[in-house]
Parts: sequence; structure tokens; C-alpha cells
Amino acid sequence: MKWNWPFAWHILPVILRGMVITIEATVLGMLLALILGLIWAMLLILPNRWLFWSTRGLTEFIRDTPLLIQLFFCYYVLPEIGITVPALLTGITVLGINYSAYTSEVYRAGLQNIPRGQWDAARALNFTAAQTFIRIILPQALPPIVPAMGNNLIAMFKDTPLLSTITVMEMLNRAMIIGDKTFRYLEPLTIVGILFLIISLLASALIGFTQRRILVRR
Amino acid sequence: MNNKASIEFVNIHKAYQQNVVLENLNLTVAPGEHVVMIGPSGSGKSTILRLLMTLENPDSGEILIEGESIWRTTRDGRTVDAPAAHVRKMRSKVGMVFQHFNLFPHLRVLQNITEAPVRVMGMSRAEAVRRATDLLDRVGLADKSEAWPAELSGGQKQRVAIARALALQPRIMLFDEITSALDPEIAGQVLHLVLELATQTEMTMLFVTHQMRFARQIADRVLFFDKGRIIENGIPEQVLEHPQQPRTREFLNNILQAS
Amino acid sequence: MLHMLPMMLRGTVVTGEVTAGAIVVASVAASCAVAMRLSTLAALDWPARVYIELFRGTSALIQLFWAFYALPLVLPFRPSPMIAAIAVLGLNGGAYGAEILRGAILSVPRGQHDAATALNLSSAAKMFRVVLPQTWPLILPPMANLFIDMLKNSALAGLVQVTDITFNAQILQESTLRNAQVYGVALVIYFIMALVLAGFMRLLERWMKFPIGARV
Repeated sequence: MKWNWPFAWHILPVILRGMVITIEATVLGMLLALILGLIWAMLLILPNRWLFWSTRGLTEFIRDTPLLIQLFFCYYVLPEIGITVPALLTGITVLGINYSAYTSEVYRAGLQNIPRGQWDAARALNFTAAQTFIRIILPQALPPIVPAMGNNLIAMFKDTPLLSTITVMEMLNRAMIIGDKTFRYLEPLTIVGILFLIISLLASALIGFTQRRILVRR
Repeated sequence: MNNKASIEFVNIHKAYQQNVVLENLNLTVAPGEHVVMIGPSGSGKSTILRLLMTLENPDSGEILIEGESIWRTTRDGRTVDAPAAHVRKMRSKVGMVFQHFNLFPHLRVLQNITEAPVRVMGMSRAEAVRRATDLLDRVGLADKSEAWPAELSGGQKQRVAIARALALQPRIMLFDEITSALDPEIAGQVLHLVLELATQTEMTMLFVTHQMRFARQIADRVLFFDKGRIIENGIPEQVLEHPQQPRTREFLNNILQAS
Repeated sequence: MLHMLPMMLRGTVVTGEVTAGAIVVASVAASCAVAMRLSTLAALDWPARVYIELFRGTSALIQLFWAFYALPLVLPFRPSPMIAAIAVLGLNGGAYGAEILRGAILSVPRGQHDAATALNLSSAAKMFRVVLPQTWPLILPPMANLFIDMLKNSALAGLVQVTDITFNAQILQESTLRNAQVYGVALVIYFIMALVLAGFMRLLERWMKFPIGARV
């Protein structure tokens, strides 16, 4: 079977429409991961043993089980308990929760890099705990972790094809539907692969650039 | 002693990018001679040692050990680049002790010393262990043979490094600022060990150091380097006490004031 | 609940096989790629770079579908699902492994290379006796993470007819409709497998450990 250019051009717009959903899922999923991850990280530094171990256990479990099964679990079990939402929303939620387990580690590393003296100085100036965290600690902890978060973003982007297994019409799903209908899998699957490659490489280059900028600034 | 020179540098030129480190350098060292090289940092003295140890190649010029070129050899009457085997043969005549010790962190002290004799000279393990134990005894660390390098103090690390270099029985030993990373008191102990070694063997020895008292004690000859050239060359009394060049006087004054 | 266990356990064995096979493929692929990347010959360096970027830049599921649906149309034969899955997941992991290994090798200080040269060690001895043994403490923790990622990625094989935990779970789910139970059990099995793998890697780490100081 040979590569068929007219066919490839013909299906490209259909696949590109899937990219909108892919990017939507990535952006919203990452937003959720950033928020949840920060919450986990804060629970981990609070001096409460019960909170620490339950947060630890939850993130560990999330990180040690396949995203695919997590997706299946939520996709099939949520309707059973009366929650019926579009598949895309389920997918975004699961992606966000899954990656929050990784972003929490990134936040934690960033927070650990803030010297003890910064907390002490804030205490000496009589800031409240919340003020200290929001105005003193976070502004210092966040810039250095931007590249690591960027890497998580790319990783999540590359995980979005899994959403095709729960009927989300992102790029891979569209490609497979085209393949099933025409029995030509080579063109659609290769196109999807190349699109992923282009975006990942561009994003990696952007992260490398940001990383150098941040290093220079320090 | 034979009358062939131990080491010869002939018209050596070496630069890193635009930065010239050695310029048209000529140097001859007699067998068994102890030569101390002093001078400001970046003046090229460490590069001499690195070139001799084949850690780096000269841009042009010849380096000979016992009359034989390190990098070049004659074949059918023509001079050509020497094969790797030749370079390794020449390298086996030279040993080196580094400023930052460079012990192998994943090998215990005894293995650090036996590794090369077993792998390079093909010595039996038993023989290598026996000799390594002797050497450790000689540097006063007989009880440390099973320690990890990270468990030793700086002075102990450097003494192991000396034993490691000696284990290959080189004819030329290079000492590259071996006490610069050590506390003064510990440095004194290591230098004492080297002085002892110098009187007990007939090895040719080259030193780069900032310890002027040690230089006076050990040197047959002192070279003062400045900007990639040897600008003063003579017995220690002459160079260290009656320097001819203003640049040497200035350097020695600064060192004296610092210590 | 009990009647689904035999099928899940059979799936567990297959998941173990796919993961183990993929880890072997990944180790070989990563070693070759790094050897090529460290070579001074551009003809060796570039293919390795392309391999690494290609597999790291696209997603494992796309690679798997491509190998399962598109590749057989170009190849003269159709590899079995198991072989295809092991090859793709292995090559995918190998691309990540290569970056871990290369970073560790490049982080060995120049002084170590100098000392090895000064002791006249051959370049093979330098690599295998001095440089590589020092990289173990650096590569084992990220390698443990990579292997766990590969275990989790093996679930994708269930989507291309490999009868692993995921595949069997899907069949059980369709036949019993006990969604929470089936996928809950699957999650727990994967979790236990990951814990076992992590524990094994920690043992290996302790075994390979040597104390390292600031300057030795």
C-alpha cells in the first residue's frame, strides 16, 4: 500500500478539527492539575500527619496506576452514581486529577527550595500564615518551576489520545474512524503522529527558551 | 643515569580558542631531575603537565619522553601520527597526581590502587593487592584499604592518589597543585610524604605548586612562567631569592605577603 | 467478584510479560542509542537523535496504533499483537531511557576521565570500569520511574488485542456490567504491581550504592 497524497489532504481538515478538542482538553486539564496540585502540595506541608498520609497515599495511588484504567473507571462508574456528564468533561477531569499528582511534586520541590530564613523573616515582620504563603513564598517558588510544569503540559498533551477510548472526538479518534471506514490507516495515523511531533518539538523548544531566560534572570 | 633527556618540549604551541597558553615553548628535563614550576594562574604551567600526561594535545611542536616522541613516530623514513598503542606505551612512563584527587568514588581505596595494575599492566590480582598494601603502608594508610574514598579526609585522599599513581611504577611523576585543596597543616603532611618519596626514588618529578618553602626544599631547578613563556629558569636560590625579572620579583612579593 | 479473579490473574501474567519484554527492549535500545549519541560520527549521532525525538515527541498510543494498524499495510507480514506491543512500548521507553543514561554519563566530572587516562586505562576500561559504574546511583531512581511508567503504558497493549489486565477487564465489564468492581480490581492490581516493581528497584539501588562526597 502506498501513501496517497490526495487522500491525506482530503482528511487533514477533519483531523485538524480534532486538534481543537485535543488542545481544549490539554489546557483545561492542565489548569485543573495546577490547582489541585497546589492544594495537595499545601496539604503536604501542613503539620498534620493524617492529612499528610492521606494526601500522600492518594497521589501515590494515582501515579502508580494507568491513566487508561482511571479513565475507564470514571467513564463507567460516574453514571452509576448518577453523574452524567459529557465524555470530554470526564476526560478533562481525569487528566487533571492524574497530573495533579505530578504537579504537586513539582510544587513541593519548588517550596522546599525556599530557605527557612524566608519563613522566619516573614514571621518576624508579623505577616499572617496566608500572607506569608501568598505574598512571600509562592512568588519565589513559582518562577523556577515553570519549565517543569511545561514538561508536564507536554506530557499531558501526549496523553490526550487516550481520551479516544472513552469516545472523545480528538485527533486519534477521528483518524481511527477514518481508517475504519476507508481501510486506510496509514495516512490518518501518520498525520496525527506528525501533528503531535510538531507541537511537542515546538513546545519543548519554547520550554528550553524559558528555562534559559529564567536562569539568566537569577 | 643515562645522558638522554627524560623530557623534552620542542617548540610547543598551545591555545584554547583565541587564548594562547603556551607559546613556542622549549624545555628539557634531565633524568631524575626535580623541576618546580611557579607563576600566576593561567600562565601555562599546569598545561605542561596535562600535555605530558596526554590529557591534551599540543597545537604544534614535539614532546619527547626519553628521546621518543609521544604523538609522532617514523614509518618508512617519514614522520606520521603515532598509533594509539604507541601513545599508551609512552603514557605508561608517566604518572600524575591531581589537585582535586580524582579518586574513583565507586571503588574502595584498595581497588582504586589495584585497578590499573590489573587492567593495564596485566598484573595478577594477588600481586596487585600485595603491592597496593605495601604502597598504602608507605603513605601511612594501611588501615584504610577497605574504606570508600568519600569516607577519607582530603589529606588521606591525596595520599591514596599518590599511591595509586605509584602503583604503575612510572619513571616520571607529575604533581599538579596537589595541596591547593587542602588545609595548610594537612598540606604539610602530604608535602612531607612527597619529599620523602623524592629522596627514595630516581623518578623524574615535575611540580606545579604555590608552596615556596616546599619548592626550595625539593627543587633542583625552578621555572617561572608568565603568559605562556618561561621567563626565569635556574636553581631555587637563584630564582626564588635573586630573581632577575621584575615580573618574578613582583609575583614572589605578592606570595610572601599573602602567606 | 471471586469468579472474575482467574481471568484478571491471567491478565496480570500477560501484563507482566509485556512490561518485562518492553523493559528488555528499552534497555537494549537505550544503550545503543546512547552509544550512537556519544559517537563523534554524525552518521551515528543523527539516526539516534531522530529515534529519540520521534518516540518522545509522539504519544505511545499513537505509536502503538500506527504499528498495529498502519505498519502491517506496509510490511510484508503482520507481527503478533504481543510482539508489536513489546516492540513499540520498548522502543518508546528506550527513547526516554537514552536521555536518562546520556545525562548521567555526561555528568561524570572531567577529573574522572583525566585520572583514568593518567592511569593508562583503555577507553573501554574507562567507560565500563570508571564512568558507567559511577552513573548507577544517578540513573536508578529515574529508571525506577521509567519502569513504572512502562508498566502503566503496558495497559495500552490491551487496546490492540493483547490479553492483558486491561483487555480482560474490558471483557468482564461488558459481560458483567459490574463497572466499579472490574475497574477497581484492575486499578488495585496495577497498584500492587507498581509497588513490587518500585520495591525491587529500591533494593537494587541500595545494592549499587556507594558513598559519594563533594570531591573524591
